[in-house]
Amino acid sequence: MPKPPKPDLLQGTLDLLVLKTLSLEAMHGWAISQRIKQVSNGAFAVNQGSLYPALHRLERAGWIGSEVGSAENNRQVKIYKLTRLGRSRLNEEKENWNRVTTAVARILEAQ
Amino acid sequence: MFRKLYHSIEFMMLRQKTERLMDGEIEYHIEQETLENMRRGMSRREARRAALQDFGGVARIREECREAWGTELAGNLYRDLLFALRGLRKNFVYTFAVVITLALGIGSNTALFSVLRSVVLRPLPIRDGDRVVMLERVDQKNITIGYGFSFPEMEFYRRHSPALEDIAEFHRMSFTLLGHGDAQNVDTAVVGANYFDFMGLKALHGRTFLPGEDAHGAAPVMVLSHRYFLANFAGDASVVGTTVRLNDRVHTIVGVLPPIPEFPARTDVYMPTSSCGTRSNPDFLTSHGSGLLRLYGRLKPSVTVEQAQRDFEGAVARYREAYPESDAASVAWSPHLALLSEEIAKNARPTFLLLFGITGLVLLIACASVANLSLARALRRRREVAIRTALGASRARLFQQFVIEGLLVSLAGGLVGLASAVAALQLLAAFAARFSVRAYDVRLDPVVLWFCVIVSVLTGVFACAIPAWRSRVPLMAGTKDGAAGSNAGSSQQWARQLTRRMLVSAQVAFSVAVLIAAGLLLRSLIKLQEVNPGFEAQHVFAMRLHPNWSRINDPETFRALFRKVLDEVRQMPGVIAAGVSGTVPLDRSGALSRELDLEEPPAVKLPVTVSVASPGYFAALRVPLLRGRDFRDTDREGAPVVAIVNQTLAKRRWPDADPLGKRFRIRRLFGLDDDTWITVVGVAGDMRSARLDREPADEVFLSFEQASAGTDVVIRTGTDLVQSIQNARKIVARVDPETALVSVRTMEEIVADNLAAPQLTTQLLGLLAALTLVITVTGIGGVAAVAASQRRAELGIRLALGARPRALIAMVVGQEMRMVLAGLAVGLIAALAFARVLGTFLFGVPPTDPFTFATVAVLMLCVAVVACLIPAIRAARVDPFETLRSD
Repeated sequence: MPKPPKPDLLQGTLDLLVLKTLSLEAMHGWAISQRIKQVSNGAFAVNQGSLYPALHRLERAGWIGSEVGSAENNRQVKIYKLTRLGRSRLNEEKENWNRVTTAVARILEAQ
Repeated sequence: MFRKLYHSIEFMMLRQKTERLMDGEIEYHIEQETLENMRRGMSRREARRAALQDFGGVARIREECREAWGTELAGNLYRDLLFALRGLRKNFVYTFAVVITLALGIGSNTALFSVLRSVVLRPLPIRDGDRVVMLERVDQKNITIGYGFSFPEMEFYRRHSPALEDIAEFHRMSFTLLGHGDAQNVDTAVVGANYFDFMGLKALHGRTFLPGEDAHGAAPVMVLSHRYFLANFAGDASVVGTTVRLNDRVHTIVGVLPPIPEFPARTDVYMPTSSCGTRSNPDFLTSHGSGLLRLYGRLKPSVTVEQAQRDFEGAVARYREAYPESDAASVAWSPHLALLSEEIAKNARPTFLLLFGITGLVLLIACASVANLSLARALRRRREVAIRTALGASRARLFQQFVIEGLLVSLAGGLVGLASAVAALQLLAAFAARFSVRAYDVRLDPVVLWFCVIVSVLTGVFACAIPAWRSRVPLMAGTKDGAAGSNAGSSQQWARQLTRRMLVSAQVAFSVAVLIAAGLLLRSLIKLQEVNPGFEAQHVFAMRLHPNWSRINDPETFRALFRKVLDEVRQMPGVIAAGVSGTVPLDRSGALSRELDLEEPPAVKLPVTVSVASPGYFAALRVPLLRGRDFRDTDREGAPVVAIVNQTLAKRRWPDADPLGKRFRIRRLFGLDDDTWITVVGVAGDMRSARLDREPADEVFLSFEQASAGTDVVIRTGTDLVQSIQNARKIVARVDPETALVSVRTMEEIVADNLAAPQLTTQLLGLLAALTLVITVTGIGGVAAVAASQRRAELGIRLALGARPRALIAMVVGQEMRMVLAGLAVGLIAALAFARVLGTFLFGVPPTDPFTFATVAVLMLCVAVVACLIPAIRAARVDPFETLRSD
């Protein structure tokens, strides 16, 4: 592997990223993956494929919903959007995340 | 767990669509990624490879997506289901036997449970059913005395019963309803205006009574019972607000009740106390001697029945002190207070709990039979299971497979059982009506359906899946010795076999006993149908008249009414004979039980049945007059009082003398003086007047004109019966439009009614017998199948050594028949003991009827042989090389 090692995606973080991404607008799988890649500047070494099990898991949990829409070249794809349940879940996750990062930061900066 | 399962099933349904969409989005993703890569300058091929690599294992990702949905489980469920269906279809005999056996077990329990629930368990449709009580008088034996309460007594208890919130009164009367079609006789409940509020009953249409409608002089109103409303007003709600006449008073129908139990007896209409002449008579309000009223009480909250009972006893004691002269004080009785719901369920509860217990037992037996069948099947499949285990099937997966198979057959059995329960429900409801006023409400409600589902699932798991599951053997042993799997000498195995066989023997015994009981009842029913009742029932019908007693209130107008009807009926075309009577054979409602006081010694009082007849009555029924003459029109008021006696009485009282001209007296006879001498003028042939299965009793007939009593006009016609009945109805309506017809029945219907009860009992017991027989057959077959499966290797060796298949079959059958013979012997002995109890229900058949016993024994042997033959033939067909190879 010639590429420099990148940090692994923290467990559960992908869910948070997906929820956050969908909170802006409804979009299909490919768009979600592009968006995460752009915003994070490709910071994570994530198999793009693992996005899909996460999407299905979140859908089953009821945090996101889906409907069938057509993408370019008339392909039928699922368009995902955040549900009300998902929105409150996102807030919880955000708080959790903030708590964790603050705590970690404090530990690291402790003299 | 359920949520997970639900999602899995949902996914299974949506499986194709979901998979398509999933593939679509993944494919789309990769395409887009490829395009992106190409834009960065890669060749098409390179771009796609890079895209796939970045994506990371399409197949794995797909699997992960499916797992996210619990697809794993759903996919297995579906596969297992298909597999189970295939297996069950292949083994049709097993499937059929199990489904039928479980259907009978589950069906009988479902049917019984729905009856039990309807007549005993479901709360009464009244407000606070657990607080409404009945106040009764009981004798020393705790049996309710028919004599009700007087008005002052009720008022006294109302004041002196602190445990009761309120008391409601109720009594029954019979009225003639006029102004709606033909005059009708209606069973009427007379109640206070507060009665419906007291019971918490709201009208279905219109309203119930308003306060004050029971006050003296209030406008007469009435409420219809739901059954009467449907039967006579065709359920047309516009009847509310119309008027009809009850006897002589015009009543407005103000409402219709919802369906409620008609307790204590059939009730057509309800009216307030002000409409009942007896009840609103000022004398009644002060008389301590008119015990007319039936009382209901409502317990105050938090008061127990026991407290209320003590309270009631106290009130009665005080009443007796206050009014020592009253009947209630001088006659011996004890106060008794019981919940209305208990009183209503009293007769039905023990019977139906017992029956439910029996069907529960039947279900247990059915489960045991099915367990054996499942075990035998699993033993045959041992190798398959072992191979699957070896290939890595987890215990959970295997168990799941067995459970699915079990549930498939048990749910199929439950479904068939439910259908048969629905079919049998009418019969059971008719039976329940003998014990409970709530039988009208027998139905399958959701609770019953859940009961059926739960029983099905439980039997599927415990009778099908678990026995099969427990049959599996350790991996190596299974593949090595396959189906043989047994060292025949193992004592544990032998003990298990013995238990199984004893169980089947017990089953055989039980079912033989039930079959014999059913057979005896059937034989006695046939005998009963063949019995000569002493009259000819064909072409005869009886009309029961109910005059408007407010107008027909003296003997002469009463006689004139019947005379007129009789005259006109005799003019009808085709009428051969017609007469008036006080009762109809096989319907004893009008007959009196009295004592005969002979003029000549021995001067003993003899019990007799007294009824009334006019000229033509005996001719109408074709009852022969053996001596003397029929009544004549001259046997009327003022002429010497005459009687016709039946042959039994004549033979018993005057065996050697001529009965004609003999005289006797009977006290308390209609309107006659107690010391009137009555002269015998004729002897009629015997009739079975009371019941078909009773020998004729001593019977005396008086002249209708002299007794001034009678209820029926009995008509024999030579033409069409239906047409004659219509004509006769018209005649009654023309002669007196206010005379109601209580019933118009052909004699054949009356005879059939008399047979209905034994018929019903026979049908039910016959059903039970058929049911136990089928279950026993599967039981025998199951044990034989287990034994044959376990002996497969041995049988294979015997075959290989040259034994003929037929001899092997005979051997297997012979061995299994030993348990059947043992059971048969026990069953026959048990039936001998049991039949003695049954003796009182039998007619014309001895409880030890050899024909029945022999038939049942042969029947049982035949079906048992067939049941053993099936597994024996299968076992003998085994390929000897196959069994040898596996050992």
